[in-house]
Order: sequence, then C-alpha cells, then structure tokens
Amino acid sequence: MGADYGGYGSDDTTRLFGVRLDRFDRLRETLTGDYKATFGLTTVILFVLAAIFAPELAPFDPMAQEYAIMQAPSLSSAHPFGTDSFGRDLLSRMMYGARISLGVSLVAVTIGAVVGIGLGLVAGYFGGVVDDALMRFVDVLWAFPWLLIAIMLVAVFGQGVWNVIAAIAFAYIDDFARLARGEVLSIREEEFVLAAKNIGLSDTRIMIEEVLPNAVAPLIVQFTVLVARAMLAESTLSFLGIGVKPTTPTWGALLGQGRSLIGQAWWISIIPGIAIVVTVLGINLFGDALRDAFDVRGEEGSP
Amino acid sequence: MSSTTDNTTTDDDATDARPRELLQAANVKKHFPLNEGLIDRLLGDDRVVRAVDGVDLTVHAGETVGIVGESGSGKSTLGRTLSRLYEPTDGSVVFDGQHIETHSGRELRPIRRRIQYVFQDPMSALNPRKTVGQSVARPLEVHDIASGDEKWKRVADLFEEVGLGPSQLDAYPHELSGGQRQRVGLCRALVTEPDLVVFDEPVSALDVTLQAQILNLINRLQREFDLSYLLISHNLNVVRQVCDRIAVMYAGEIVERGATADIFENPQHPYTRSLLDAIPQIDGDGTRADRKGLDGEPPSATNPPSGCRFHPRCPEFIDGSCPGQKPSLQDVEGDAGHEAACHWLDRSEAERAAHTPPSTTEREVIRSESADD
Amino acid sequence: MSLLDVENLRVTFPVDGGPDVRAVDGVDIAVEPGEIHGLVGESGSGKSVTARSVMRLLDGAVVEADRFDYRGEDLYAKSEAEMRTIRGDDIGMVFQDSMSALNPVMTVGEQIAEVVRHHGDVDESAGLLSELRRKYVTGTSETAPSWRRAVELLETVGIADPADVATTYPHQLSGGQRQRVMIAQALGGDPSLIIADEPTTALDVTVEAGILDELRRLCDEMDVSILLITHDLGVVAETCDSVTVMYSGSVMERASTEQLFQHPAHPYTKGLLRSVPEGGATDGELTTIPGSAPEPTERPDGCPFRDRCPAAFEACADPLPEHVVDAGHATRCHLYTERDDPGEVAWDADADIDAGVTAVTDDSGEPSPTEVTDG
Repeated sequence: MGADYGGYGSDDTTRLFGVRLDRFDRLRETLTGDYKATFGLTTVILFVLAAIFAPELAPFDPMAQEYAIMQAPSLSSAHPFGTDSFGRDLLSRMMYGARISLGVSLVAVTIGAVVGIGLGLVAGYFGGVVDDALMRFVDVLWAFPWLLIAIMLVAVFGQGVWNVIAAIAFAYIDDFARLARGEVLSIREEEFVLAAKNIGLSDTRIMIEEVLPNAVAPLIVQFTVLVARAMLAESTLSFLGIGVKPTTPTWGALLGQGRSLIGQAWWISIIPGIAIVVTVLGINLFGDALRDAFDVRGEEGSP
Repeated sequence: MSSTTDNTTTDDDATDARPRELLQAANVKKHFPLNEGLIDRLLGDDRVVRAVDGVDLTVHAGETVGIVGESGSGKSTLGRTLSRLYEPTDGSVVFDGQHIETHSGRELRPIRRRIQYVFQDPMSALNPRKTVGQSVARPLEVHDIASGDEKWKRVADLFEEVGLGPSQLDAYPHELSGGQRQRVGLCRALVTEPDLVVFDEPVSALDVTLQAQILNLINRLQREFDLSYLLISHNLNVVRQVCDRIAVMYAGEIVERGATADIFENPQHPYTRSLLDAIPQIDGDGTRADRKGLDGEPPSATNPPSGCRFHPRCPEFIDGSCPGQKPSLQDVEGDAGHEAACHWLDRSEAERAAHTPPSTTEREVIRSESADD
Repeated sequence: MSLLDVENLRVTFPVDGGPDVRAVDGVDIAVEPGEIHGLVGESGSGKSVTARSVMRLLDGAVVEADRFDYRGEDLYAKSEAEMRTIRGDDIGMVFQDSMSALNPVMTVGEQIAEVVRHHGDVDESAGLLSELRRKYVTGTSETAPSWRRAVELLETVGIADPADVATTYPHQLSGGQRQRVMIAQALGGDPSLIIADEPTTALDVTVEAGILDELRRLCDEMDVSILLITHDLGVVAETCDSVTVMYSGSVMERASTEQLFQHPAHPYTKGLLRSVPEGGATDGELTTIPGSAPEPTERPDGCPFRDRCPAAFEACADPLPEHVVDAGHATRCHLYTERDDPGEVAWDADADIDAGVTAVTDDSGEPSPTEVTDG
C-alpha cells in the first residue's frame, strides 16, 4: 500500500478476536517453546487424527468378534491393546470411540458456549431488568438436573448422538453465561466502552467489538475445562446406558463395559480411562497456551 | 468549519456581543436508580441518586468552560449527560440549535461526531486489545469519513500533530507511557473534527511535568482547530490555566459561576471560597501557608440536605433560611455574568471574619425549627 | 544520630530473559528524629521502592546499600522475626488507597486493637487462638484495654465520635476518615517512624488539608518522624521539614523545604517547580520539561536527566557528583562541580525553549532537543 508513514497502520493485517494475526507467531512460539503446551497440542492432534482416520488406521473392524476373548495387551500380538469380552480389538474400538467421545464433547460445549456467552453478554452489558430476567432463566437451567434432561430426551426421541449433545450442551449453558456475565460486568465499567459509545457505535457492535474480545481469555479456559468434563459426561451417559446406541464404541461405554470385568481383564476399563485422562490433560494444557498467546498484555514486563 | 460570530445572540449574562451558543443546557437532571434489579423494582424501591439535579449551563463557540467540584459533586455525570453518553432524566440540552436530550441511537450519530469526550484515565479509555491506531481510526469508519489509506493518513497526521510518531500507530495501550496514552485520547477525540470537546480530568492521572505538556497541547489544539471546550476538573489550578469561564458544582447543583478571573479574585459562595482556600500553595517563603480544609463530608446524593445543600458544612451558616430555603443563582454586583447561589451574598469581609459558625448540633436544631415554621 | 540513615541504596529487580531493572541507583536518605521528610518524584522515580526497602517488603529484589541503619542498627542484618516486630511496632505504614489497605470485613476498631495487642502494651493475649476467637466469635470487648486504646487513637487522629466510628466497617466511612483510621492504625504500635506513601493523593483538596495538618500535628506533638512520599510539591511545601528530590532512581537534590523552594539548585527541581500550574495569567503557556522520564533500562550514562535538561553539557555523561550548596542543601549536578558559575537554566529565563515545540516533543525516548547554556 502506498502510504508514506513507514508502513505502520494499515488494514492489511487480519485479526481474530481483535488480536493481530501475527499474534499467532506468539501462539506458535508458546506451543513450541513450552513443553507443556507442546504436549497438549500433540496429544490433541494425535487423538483427533486417530478419530478422523479411524476407518483407515484401525487394524480391525471394531465390531468383528474373535473366539479368543479377553486377550491381554501385548505389543507382539495382533491386538496391542488386547481384546474385550466379545473378542473385539480394543485399539480399533478406542479409535472409533474417539470419534464419538471427542466429537460429542466438542460440539456440545461449542453449542453451550455460543448460547451461554450470548446470554451472559447481553445480561451483563445491559444490566438491570434484562440482567435479572436472563439470569433467573439461567438459574432455572442450572437447577434442572442435566441427567434428568438426558433421560427425558432418550425417553422421547430414543437413543442417539444428538440427544447426548443436546443434554450436555444444555448443562453447560449456565457455566458460560455466568462467567461471561461476570467478565462483562467489570469490563463494561471500563471507560473504553463509554468511549466506543461516544464515537457512535451501536450496543450490538460495542458488545461484539469491544467487550467480548476482552472477556475471551477466561472463556477459552472455561471451554477447555468443559470439553474435558463433557467427555466424562458422555462416559457417564454411556455408562448408564442412555448414551449413544449401546453397540457403538465410545470411551465411556468401553469403560463401563470393562468395569464388571476389572478382576479378570483390567485393560478393558483402564485403557479408555487413561485415554480420557490424557485427552483432558492435553486439552487443558492447550487451552492455557491459547489463553497466554491471546493476551496482548502478556508480554514481558508490565507497562 | 468556521465559527462566524453571530452577533444576534441575546445571552442574558453577557454585556457585550458573544459568539453563538454552541451548547445550552437548561435544568438538566440526571438521576440513577439506586437499585436496578427487577425484584427491587417490584418491591417498590424507587430511591434515586441525584447526581445532577437541575443545572443550567451555556458553552459559546470558541470558549472553554470549566466545571469544578469535589469528587461526588456530579461534575463528571454532568459532562457525560451533556455529551449524551447518558440520557438526561429531565431538562433540555440544545446543541447548535438542535434539541438532543431525547435523541437516541441513529439520531445521535451526527451529534456524536461533533461532540467528543476525553476521559480521565487513558489506560481505561482505550481498548487494551486494539492498537491505538485502530482505536483512533475507528470513528472515521463509523461516521463514513474516510477509509483505507486516506483514513490511515488522517490518523498518522493527527498523531504527528500531537507529538506521536507513526511507529506508535501499531502500539497497544500498555506499550505507551501515560502521557502518550493521553495524547492518543486527544487524537481519538479530534479525528472526527468535532465542534465541542468535553475533557474529564484530562491531566489528573499524569505526572506534573506531563500535565504541563498536555495542558499546553490542549490550548494549542483549541486555537488550531477552532474548538470549544468543556473541562471538568477538581484541580482549580488546571481550570484557571485553561478556562474562560468557570462553574462550581456542589451536590449536583451549580453554586457559583462566572469569568475565571472573577471566580478567583472575587469568589462569592462560601463553598467556592473554601475550595480556593484549600489550594496548596507553593510560595516558597518557607512559611507554611495555613491552608484551610472543609469539615464534614460531601452530602448523600440520595437524600440531599434541605435548602442550601452546603448548609451542613458551610463555615458561614447564618440562620434558618440556610436549611429552610433553596437559594437561587443571583447576579453578583459589578461582575458581568457572575452569579452565585447564597442567601448571604452581600455581607462584608469584616462581617464574615467576625462570624462564628454554629456547631453541627446547633445547625440541626436550627434546621428542625425552620422546618416546623 | 539520624533515625534512618541509608547510604548508596541500590535496588535491582532481576528480569527473566532481559536486562535487570535497577529501580533505585545509589540513593542516600536520612530522616532525623521528629521531622517530616519528603521524598518527591514522578512516577517511576523509585520513591516508593526506596520506602518499601525500609520495610524490607520488596519480594524478589536485590537490595544493596553501603549503610542501612535504623536507630544505628543495620536493618538488613536483622532476622525476619525481628523485622516483623519492627514493622508495625517501630515503623508504621500509611498507604494511598485506604479502601484496599483496610480489611473490609473487620470493624476499624478491631483492626486498630489488633495492632495494639500485637505491640504488647496491653495485658491481653495476642496468641493465635485468642485472636481467632475475637475475630470469628466474640469480637474485642469494648471494655478491653486494647479497644479503649483504639478509641483513644481514633480520637488522636481527629475523628469525631471515636467510640461510634470504631464499630463501623471501612466502607461506611468516607475517604478522609479512612485515611485517618489508617494513621491511627500506624500509631497503634507506638512507632518512631511512619512511612506515608501518597497519603492524600486519592483525596479531595478540601479533605487533604485536614489530613496533612494531622500528620504535622502528630509529628510535633507525639515525637514521630514521618517519611512522606509524594509527587505533589504543594504537599511538600505545606508539610515537610526537609526534602529529597528523586528522578529516575537517583537523588537530584536534598535540602530543607525552605532552601528547596527558595533556592532550588538542580535544573530538574527548577523545572518541576515551574511546571506546577499556579494560576496567574490564563491562556499563558506553562513551562514544561520536554519529553518524559527514561525507562530504567534505557537510562543514559551519568546523569539520568541529561536528555531532558536544557543545560546539559559534555560532563553530564560522567557519574553523578555531589555538591554541597549550603548547610543541609546538596545537589547532584555537574553544573556546580564542573563550572565556576552554573548560570541559569533556560526555563528559568523562560525564553530559550520554545514552549510550543517542547509541548509536543515525543515521550518516546528519542533524544529531545537540548540546549547548552553558557555560564
């Protein structure tokens, strides 16, 4: 661009959440420089890849049964993670299970986040009666046991992935709404919000352009924490038998299935358990790195 | 944008022809509900904080009007109400011949372009997640004034005007010093070429050497861009430095106003006198000037005192008329456009000096007696 | 003997992956018994760091000094346990923000009584269990000596109805009253020195006068010395006996208040005095010091002020000298040691620097235009 003031100040740099995209250099630095972040990212990527390419990568059909049931894990055998009580390959079932477990939790939390942050933003920004009305609604959501909703959905619509997603998303709306509202309440007192009003921005624009970017850091952390919790919630539902169809492999279902056999075949429950723990840890570490990288004030030294 | 002098004005507080009135406020009130919640409203809690309670004020084109008062006097609220960041509860605000007190949303946008506000704390007033260049450029986009290279050129020119370098366009607020941030705040206010700029304590967050720099800059920009200023400050020295006229606020009301020189040399209201007495002096003769403070605290804005709102603290409290009747602004003899709201304006220096104010309890007795009458 | 005697204080903050930040670079401070000593400077001058180093409250900083004596004893040779006794008992502290410095869930009387008990003048247990009992169950009895002393102290600092005020919580008081409560609390341990860090900055001028009077009176009547940290020369003029002027981690000038205001020696002090808006003709340009103070990491060699000083010359790159102007009045400026006649600084003559230009000179750390005045 032909500007003559040293190339500073232009619209060329793209932005995300109001942060210059060259900030992604910082993200890259954080992710490669900090071993915790590197671990988090690697774990998340590995699990996502395994889930996406399960049909190509899985050594066996997750439903195929063998006569030799409950083979112990062994690197030398055809079943490195062993087989379950029906003689199905545990590694393959884990890979297919990742599709449900990761997919359900990510989609459910995203839905919960969009709705919850929307509610919290509006409630916190306008305050007063709007705040009261919206937050009482959120209180009702919170007071409603999510398991009951899950059971209700299954009773009415039968078992299915979307019912699980809906039940979990429903349960997390209030977490996001409350957190977003709390952040917005303090941010709206900052004078830059008034300053935005002064230049003629509408309330909607102020909420999205000025307020939300400043609330994004804790929301990212909340998102990663809840993704982890959603995986456990999905496991709970599967464990109770109201998750996705019983034959569909999910980590939670595997865990539940192996529970009764823990004495004879520990690996059927322990291996999915480890997978859940590692994923949850990975997502949390990744979230922390994301938050640090997006904090424009996080540079060395204070102003 | 030329400010041709309009000689047809009939401003009652002027003896000679003054420039046209840019902003005229009449009986402006801003009350905030004490509790905003649904339940409190249902329970009938309608208590309000009377931050601004009936203020008349005029700003003429090209002049600087100062508003002074203690914290809690409602001066910032007044500034925000007049620039329509807040909606007045009552009263009228006329900007350049146009009533703007009930404007909202879209109607206000052309007004927002012409009235700008500079905040006290530039750190809080700049979005920490935007570069300062973006913050300054944004009004140009919002008002469709310029875009692309033209927009950035304007911003860069303005940066240069206030002494910032082009490299600072891409800085985030926390990367700048306090003085630089306030310069950015000035840029954002000036970029839409406004007619009126409201300054809310523009230098109180700054070090003293930077204060002088910014005040000089504010003065220079007024001459260069032909601006009118409304300047809010608790610092009488700052106000004296830049203002043509001053209004003194106490508990949401104006208690005295007039030309700067008149207020400083011939203060009439006891509150104004107390404020002036409280200015720290650097006379350097080694003797400590005996600076007088003011006893008591600013009154509750929810339930302000009866009559003259200053009566519980007034060092010149006289009798039942002080808490009994509300004094109105009356002309001060000899000074053009100088008004004060006190029942006892015409007392001599000697009388004042000889006066011993009643104690708090005595005042209470006098007040209840006058209420019974 | 000085009450507090610090020589060549250096405070360094180590920074991960960057150069260390030397916030205080060779500062001498002396506070005499029974005086109010002002420590003046702009933000970033190191005045608060200096004060906190006295309390040994600087976490992670490296504090070095040739001498750091309080009542003739080296403060930095004391154990942490001894230090705890000194803080609060011997040295009291008053902060700028009284709202955050007082505990919001305890009555102010309780907070003062706690200090009194801790100091041990009263015959009441200050053990953990009895303190817990008071805080969570019974509160301090209104007949207890510590409570009576707390009420007394509130009266001492000029609070009307001290017995009632003692039972209130901090948020129920006004800013001025809270500041008085903090002073009462600092007095609770019967200290010989009070460090007051910008005690009136958050207050209205009308209230400020009363607080400063109070400090002055305590100093005169109660034999307490006060180290008053402020950026406001008006406060100094009104309250202090002697002053140390700091700039960017170094002392620029040290004098009695009278000497400082009547015969300022250092160009920085002169500039500071002239920048205070002080009425007079309106629309006049204020004299300013161009630019802004350097970051600690970008300080020039020698005099830290030389980039902004209109009288700077070659010798200013040399280490700071010490020049005694008069008894009790010293400045650290090369003009006095290198030149026979220091001459007048340009902004004192009010002409040589074009105020219009200086007003917009960058604060970006680029070199500002400087002028040399010949003697």
